[in-house]
This record gives sequence, structure tokens and C-alpha cells, in this order.
Amino acid sequence: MTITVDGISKSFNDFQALKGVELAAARGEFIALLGPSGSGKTTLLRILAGLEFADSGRLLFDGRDVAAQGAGERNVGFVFQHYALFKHMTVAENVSFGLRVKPRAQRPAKAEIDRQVNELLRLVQLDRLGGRYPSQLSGGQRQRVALARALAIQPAVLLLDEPFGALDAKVRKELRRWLRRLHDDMQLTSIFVTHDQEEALELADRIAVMREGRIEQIGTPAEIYHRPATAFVYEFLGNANRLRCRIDRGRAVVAGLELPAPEYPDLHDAAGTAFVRPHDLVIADARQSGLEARVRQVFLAGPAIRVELALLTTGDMLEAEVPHGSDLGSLIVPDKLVTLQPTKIRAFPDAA
Amino acid sequence: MPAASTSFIGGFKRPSVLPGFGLTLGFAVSYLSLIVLLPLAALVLRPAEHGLAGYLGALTDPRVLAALRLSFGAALIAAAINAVFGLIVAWILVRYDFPLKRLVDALVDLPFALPTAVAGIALATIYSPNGWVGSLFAPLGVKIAFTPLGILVALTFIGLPFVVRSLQPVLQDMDREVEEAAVSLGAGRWLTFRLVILPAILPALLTGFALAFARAVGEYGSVIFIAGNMPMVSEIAPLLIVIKLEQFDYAGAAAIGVVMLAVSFVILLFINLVQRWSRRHEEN
Amino acid sequence: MVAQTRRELSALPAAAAPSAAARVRLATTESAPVRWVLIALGLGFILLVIVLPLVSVFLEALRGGIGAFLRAVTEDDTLSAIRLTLLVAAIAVPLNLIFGLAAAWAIAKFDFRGKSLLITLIDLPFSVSPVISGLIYVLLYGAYGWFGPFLKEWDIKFIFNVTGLVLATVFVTFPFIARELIPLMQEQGRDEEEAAISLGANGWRTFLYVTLPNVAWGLLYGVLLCNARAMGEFGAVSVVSGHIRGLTNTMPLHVEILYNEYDFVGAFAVASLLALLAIVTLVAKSLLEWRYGDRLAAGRRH
Repeated sequence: MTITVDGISKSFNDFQALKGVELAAARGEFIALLGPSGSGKTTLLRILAGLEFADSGRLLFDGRDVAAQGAGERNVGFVFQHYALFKHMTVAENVSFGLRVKPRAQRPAKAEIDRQVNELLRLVQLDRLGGRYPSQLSGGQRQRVALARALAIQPAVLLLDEPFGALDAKVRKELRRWLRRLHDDMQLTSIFVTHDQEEALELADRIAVMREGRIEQIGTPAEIYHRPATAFVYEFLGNANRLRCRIDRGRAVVAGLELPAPEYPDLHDAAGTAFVRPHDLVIADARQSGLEARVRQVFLAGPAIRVELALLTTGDMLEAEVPHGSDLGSLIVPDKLVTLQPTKIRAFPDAA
Repeated sequence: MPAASTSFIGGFKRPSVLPGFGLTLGFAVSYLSLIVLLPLAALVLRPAEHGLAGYLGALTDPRVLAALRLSFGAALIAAAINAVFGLIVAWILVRYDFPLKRLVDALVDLPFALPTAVAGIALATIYSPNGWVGSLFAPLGVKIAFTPLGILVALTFIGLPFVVRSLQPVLQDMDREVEEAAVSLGAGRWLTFRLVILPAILPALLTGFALAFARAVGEYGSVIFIAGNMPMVSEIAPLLIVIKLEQFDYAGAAAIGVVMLAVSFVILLFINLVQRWSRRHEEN
Repeated sequence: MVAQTRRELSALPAAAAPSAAARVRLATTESAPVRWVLIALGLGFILLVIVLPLVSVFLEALRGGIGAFLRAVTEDDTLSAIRLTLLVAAIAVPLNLIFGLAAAWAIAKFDFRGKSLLITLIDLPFSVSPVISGLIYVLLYGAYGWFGPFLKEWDIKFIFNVTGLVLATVFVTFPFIARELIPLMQEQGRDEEEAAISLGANGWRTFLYVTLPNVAWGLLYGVLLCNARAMGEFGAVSVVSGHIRGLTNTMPLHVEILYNEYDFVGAFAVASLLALLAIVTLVAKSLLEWRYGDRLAAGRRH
């Protein structure tokens, strides 16, 4: 099913949660709504589900306006952040709920419901646990029950609110891959909300980065990561060092160092901020050209060595990442004077 | 209650730096024994003085049986009425906005605060055939005050707050997402209520029902003015106890008292079981 | 405040108002007609069962005019009933207050065996019929009670006497203050007291300066309810009083006597004083709940 969000706005009392959001999801797409809390992503998801209604704008499913349809009529599977399982029902009763409440004419026979529930439980790898109550399950198992329950009504659209938010790191990773496979196998159109950029980058076909009720940028993970449209997107998608700069005719000048900024061929000596990711900072000895800095601290644990440095000119703190086993051992010791060469930066002029 | 289940190594009390345990517990237990436990023991032992036969004889008297039947029957019906209307009142107080909502919320507690004798004469007056409400029913041939129907009115009055106050916090704390989940799975409002909301509030509803029932069985002050108090027809058990006392039939009075006390204990036990049962799906 | 009132005038769901654009109602509320019907049913029930009786008390009391009302409430027997009611409450409430504080201190600040049994026993008088509450004292101290002959020998009267009234009242109001204080003091834990002791305060000072300020509002709440019940109790005191005019007649009992003598204005006049007490209690209780709701016990049950 395709989903078209056309200029949707929504206010709660004085707070404007959504300000004219535009979004289109193609059939079979897996889209992440990424943003900090309060950016409107959950509100948008709830409007898609029919749990909330927009003040203005149109919402189309396969080109049909669904504004007049309630949550129960949209055939949308919704997975709640805290699962919202029915506590007094067993796992099997939870999963079969959507089938049991269908009008008599559309309701499958009891045996058929049982068959479908068993199949779904097998799909989410809970086939032995149908008789348990939610309180007897682990977090990851509950998450899968919530998913199976949403899938039981054979939705064309699957909406997930922070689907992995309440799980610990290890379970989260496993479930992520599993969910992606499930999405592909069942040919769903899925939209999920997250504030975890790693989750969005790994899972989604496209990411919509939201900020203060608007979509700041939408694109594939590669586009978003490598070509962030705004400073906000850049900073939200990973660790970033900020450096004050002047942008002048396709170049950004940081503390005397000229770096390419081909996005702005026409700007003349405008103030701006240059961003550089820690792994795009190369540390060299003090004789090389670059930004002069002093090493403050070195963190050896983790996937890469993290080095904290202070710029000599401004005193600003920067972070660089060095792969383990590099031959920089003699340079990355506290108090050492070094130079930094950004291999890749992204500059943004200050907003007027 | 912190760590109540952990073992008390050897002793009866866990060591603490705070003083005053012996004094306060000693006083509390002595006072409790003197005021509550000793007198109740006297009640339980009293009928035994006349032997089991005398005890059963006192209870199988038709007038006593009729009074017990009336007290329990009317209390049951009144508690059922309160379960329905108490649920509605609790629901609108928690879920809807309407004018004077806070006043209505406070008024629910009136039966707790208004002396029962006052409630009794007031109810008797407005539900009597020429009273405000009674006069509406009189043309239909329905007499409320001075009949068993009047007893129902009084018992409904005193039981209402129990149901409302049991339900209110549970309705307040209910997770709205669970209802949304039901709706997004295609359940209508009524099915959502029946399959999702009702099971969640059922323990509180049962507790409120049981509390209202327990209170109604023993109620005296608000009932005797409106009941008519005809032996075999509208004479409640507590009134019969008073009558027997006035006739100095202490054993007979105590026999009825013991039955009512036993029922109170059964209800207390029932409420405790309901509470435990209601927590069975909670996470530990 | 104005916006609040305006919002309350429409029967909108409390959660959020659906926008004009949406013709579909929110998933977690009922359609407008259902809401109206439920509100009408609920309010109608409250009106019929609670409001009308309350209003009728005052109207009946004033039926004979303000003069008749004043004559009724200043009659000698009425005045002595008021005095006796105040006296009984003035004895019963402090007794239960001391008990409540002692029991709450022992239960909330210490761990010991049999604690939950003790809590259950404290609640016991609530589940006992008022008539039985009076009966048990007659069985103990009445003319034909266990201690009856002994008391008669020494010419001590408990029953048909103020002592009996106080005993019965203490019994029916027994749990009010304790059950308010116990959960409240349990919630507060014992850290602050332990800190005070470790800073060198003695037990009494710790209680006075640390514990008491923390539970003051809850204590007041319990005293309020205890007092209302103490002054209004009917069944229990009726059994032990002997209905001796001017001597063992509390206000609720006096209401009964006047009513049975067909002195309706007199009965309702005295009743209206008690109803006033109930209203004052409810107002004070509501104010406490609104202003200090967070300082009252969360797990309060009635």
C-alpha cells in the first residue's frame, strides 16, 4: 500500500506538534521517522494509525482519503512502544484478538483462528508460549507478541512506535534484523519511529528526519548520512565536531586552514559552522600542516581509539577516532602537540 | 512494605536504630485487645453458653430467618444496583468533563459523612407516598418507603461511595494504549469495553461490590426509619438484635450477631482473595 | 480558569478535544450520545440518592420558619444532646489519635512478625455492623453481661451511661486515624528518622520534628473523618445508651426520639446541624485532597 501525507498539521492546545508535514511511502518501503523527543514523530505515526486526527491536510492510503476512517477501519497494524498487551489474556488470546472481534460475517471459524495464531506464533518464534500470560515473558518476547498481534489482522501497513526502545542492546540488535526480514517476507509497508540514528540507518529504506513538527530531510540512509541537508541533520546522525568558519566561494576557512565547501560557490565571506566527524580527522605530527591541537585524553577501549584534543587557537575541544593498531602510538599521548587534518567536512552558513 | 518477607534472623523484630518500638506496639496491641478483640470474643462465646441446640434454636426461629433473609437479600440487590450505577458514576467522573464535576465528586462521599439517622429520616421523608420522589411513584401503585423497597433505597445510599471509590483509581490508572491497541485491531467501543476494560476493572468492581454488600448487611440507622419494620416483612437483622436486647434475650441477640460477624469475615476474606487474584498478571 | 470552565460545559472527553476537521471520534472515547446518556444516568442517580435527601433535611428543618427552627435547636434536651455529642467525640477522638500514632509508628518504622495480621485486625471494626459494635459491650458490661454482676455489686454502670457511649464510639471510629497514618508513614520510609537519630536527636524529638510534620495533613484528614463518624454514630450508641433523655442522648439519638414523637421540625432541625457537620467535613476533606493530595496516603482506601 502507498501512503501519502499531504500537508498535515496538528496542535495540542498551544503546542503545534506537526506543521504541514509532507511524506510519501511507496509500496513495500520501510521508512524510519527519526528525531528527538517532541519533534512530532509519534504524533505523525498516531495520525497514520487513526489514533489521532489531523487539524488540516490530507492522508491517502493507495490514493484514497482515509481521514474519515477510524483506527479500526484502516487495516493498520500498530505496535506500541510499551507493547500495550492485554494483561489478562494469554499470548494466544492476545494474538487472536483482532480475529475474534471481527464482525460475525468476516470472522474466521475457531479452528481457522487457531491455525492462524499458531502460524503467527511460529513466525515470531513463540510457538511454545501460547498459553503464557504477558507478565511471564521477557521484554523481547513481549515485543514479538505485540508484533504477532498486529500482524494477525493481515495489515497492509505496519506502524511501530519506538519498537526497540524498551529492550536491552543485545536483544535490540537481534530483533532489528529479524524485523527487517519479516517486513521483506510479508511485503509490508512499514513506518517506524525512533530516536536512535543507528537503528534508523541500519533498518530503513528511507529516513525522514523530523524536527519541531517538520520533516527536515528525507532520503536513503546513505544520502542522509553523507549529504545531510542541514546542520541539525548532520549533528543528529552521529558524533560531530563543530568548528567556526568563514565560507568563501566554495571554500570553508577554519583557523587559517582552507577546506573545500563546493556546496557554496556563490557565498562571499559568510560566517558559518563546519562539521567534521571524529573518524574524518587525521592526526599527524606537529610539523605537518593542519589545525594545531594538543592531546588531552585518550580512550583506548571500544571499537576505535577515541582521542580528545583542544585546538590551540580557540581552545575548542574536538574528538578524533583512530583505528586500533595504527602507527600513531607515539602521537596520541596526553599533552602531545599534533596537527589535525579534516579529510571531509560539511560547512553550513549561519542562518540569516 | 519494604522487605516484609525476608527472614527475621532468630528474633521477632528486625533490629533498628529507631526507639519506641516496645512502647508503641505494646500500647497499640493492648488497646486493640481491650477495645476490639475482647468484646468480639465475648460475642462469639456468648451463644455457646446455651449449647449448640440453643444456638441453632435461636437461629431457626422463622422471624430470625426472615430477618436474615431480608438483610442479605436486600444488601445483595443494593450492592448490585451500586455496582452498575457506581461504575457509571466513576466512569463519568474519570473520563468526561461536565459542569460541577468536582462538586459531584465530593458529594459521592456524603454517605460516609452524613450520620445514618439523618440519612434515614431524610430518605423516609422524600420516598414516602407524599414525599418528593414517593409521590411520583404513588400514582403507579408503587410504595417505596415503609416497604422492602425502602430498605433498598437506604442500602443503595450508604453503599454507593464504596463502589465509586474502589473503581476511580483503577480507571484513572488504566493504560489508554491498551484501549487504542484494541481499537486498532478492529474492536468497536463496546467490544473494547467488554473484552479489555471490564476484565481490568473487574477486581476493583468486585471489591467495591463486596464492601457495599458488607456495609449494607449491617446497616441500621438509615434503614429503620424507612423500612416500616414489620416482623417477617420489613424487619432487618440488626433491628432484631436490638429488639432481642430490649427483651434481655442476650443469647438470641448474640446468635444473630455471630452469624452477621461470620459473614463479615467471609466477605473480608473474599476481598483479600480478589485483591490477590487481581495482582496475578502484574509483574513481580 | 475561564477556558477550563468553558471546556467543562461541553461533554467532551477529558483526554483531548477532537478537532472540527475530524469527523471521526478518538479511539478511546464514546460517541457524544453515549456520553450524554451516561452523564445523565450518573448525575440523575446522584441527584436521587444523595442530593435530594441532603436538601430535604434543610428544607424540612425550616418548614416551620426560622423561629421554630431556633426554638427546636435551643430546647434543653437538644442542648444537652449537643453537649453530650461533643463530650463523647472529645474523648473518643483523642484516644484513637494516640492509638493511631502509636500503631503507625510501630508498623511503619519497624519490621516484625505478624505485622499484616495486626493491620487486618485494626481494620476489623469497619466490617462489623454498628449494632454489633454496641451489642458486644452490652454482652460484656450489661446487667446480664459477663462483668454485669461484678459491676452491679460495686454499683458501676457502663451501659446506659456515658462510659458505654464512649466505648461504643471508640470502637466504631477505631480504625480511621490509624489506617490513614499507616500507609502514609510507610510511604515516607524511615530514612529521615534514622538521619535524625544519627544526628543525636532523641526519639521524642525525632517524632516531633521529623515524623509529625511529614504526616500532619494525613493526620488532620484522619481526625476529620474520625470526628464526623464519632458525632454521627447512631446504631452502636443506640444499643448502649438506654435512650435516657438529657442524660445518654446524643444528637443522632435525639433525632430518632423527636422523629418517633412526630416532632418532625425538631427532628430535622437537629438533623440539619448534623448535616451541616457532614458538609463541613466534606468541604474540609475535599480541600485537603485538592491541596495536599500528594501529602496524603496514596494507597488510601475507604
